[in-house]
Amino acid sequence: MRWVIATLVFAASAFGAHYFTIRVVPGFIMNKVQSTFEAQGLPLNHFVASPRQTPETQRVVRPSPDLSYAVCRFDVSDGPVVISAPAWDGYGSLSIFDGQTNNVFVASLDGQAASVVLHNATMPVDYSGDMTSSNSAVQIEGAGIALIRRLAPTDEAHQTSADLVREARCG
Amino acid sequence: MKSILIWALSAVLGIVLGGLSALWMGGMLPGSPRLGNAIDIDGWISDWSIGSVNADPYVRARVAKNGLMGLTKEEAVYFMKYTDDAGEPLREACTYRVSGGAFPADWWSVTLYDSDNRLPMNKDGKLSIDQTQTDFMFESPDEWWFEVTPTEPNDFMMPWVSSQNAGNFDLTLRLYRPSDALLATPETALTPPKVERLSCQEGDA
Repeated sequence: MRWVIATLVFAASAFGAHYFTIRVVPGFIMNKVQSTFEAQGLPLNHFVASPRQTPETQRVVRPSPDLSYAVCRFDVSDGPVVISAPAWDGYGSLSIFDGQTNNVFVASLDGQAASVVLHNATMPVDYSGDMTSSNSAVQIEGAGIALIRRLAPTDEAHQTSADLVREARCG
Repeated sequence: MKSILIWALSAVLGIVLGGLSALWMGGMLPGSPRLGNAIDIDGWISDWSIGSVNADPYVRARVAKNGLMGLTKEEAVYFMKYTDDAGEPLREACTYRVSGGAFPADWWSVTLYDSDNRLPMNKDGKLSIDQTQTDFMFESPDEWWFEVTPTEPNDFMMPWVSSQNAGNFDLTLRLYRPSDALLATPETALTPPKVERLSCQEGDA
């Protein structure tokens, strides 16, 4: 009987630890990314244009050197956040990632601006007068990351894209 | 007392084994399953659930480790190639010829990453090839090629991607705004690039 119980304890512990670990990994890594961005001076609720992606400047895994990136850390715990980005002549997208790494929203920036209101479950938002071109609202919990990608394979295109960060909103 | 010790030890072993197995299946440990192997077209592997809220927890963990902030399939799909067309691992000591044609997507690129999922630490400035470059360099979008090599090719007209300091590496094909046909039947809609090994440095063939 002793060994039967030991086997059951082992199986239950292994299953529980496996389930718990695999569930917390994405959130743990996103929290780490948030902390890294914060330590690198990326403020909350502001888009910051990343430098052109090179071996020396890469901040996250597998960046595309052909794209320009602008990143914003946000948190909807205290209220809705409006995210918007201006149009781009070429491939471009505005995407939102929640605290579990899910891509919960994406919109094209090819020749058109895009925007979205992010809100938590306890604060549904009336966003009708607060949008620039599209009417999207996404429910999300806690902190996340907004990312603007634009096709910018040359230094000149990258600089033009980086200058557009002033027209983006995150807050 | 002895029984309690045995049960406590069983619990500790179970927690360790369960945790390590989760980390392995989540792509966190050396030799773990790679990100995206649900679709395999001539060795170019992908997974349509990248970025999706419907991704299973193992794919989500692998994305967090190896492809953070990947987009959902309607916006972009990602194919990784770890071996040449003969099935040998891609490595810095060898030179490869990559060739292909048009893809069923709005825009594409091929980028080289080292085994740590990073751009390789070199100053060659040759990290990727994308459609804007091949459109400029080749007469037709249906036929393009470039070399992957640790040193600049003798032919200065040859487009190339540098593998210097990459060690063992992979090539990642990004297809932005893929067609409906590609999403529905990738095996028939996509003709992936060929990756031919041309040569290897002496002693490392």
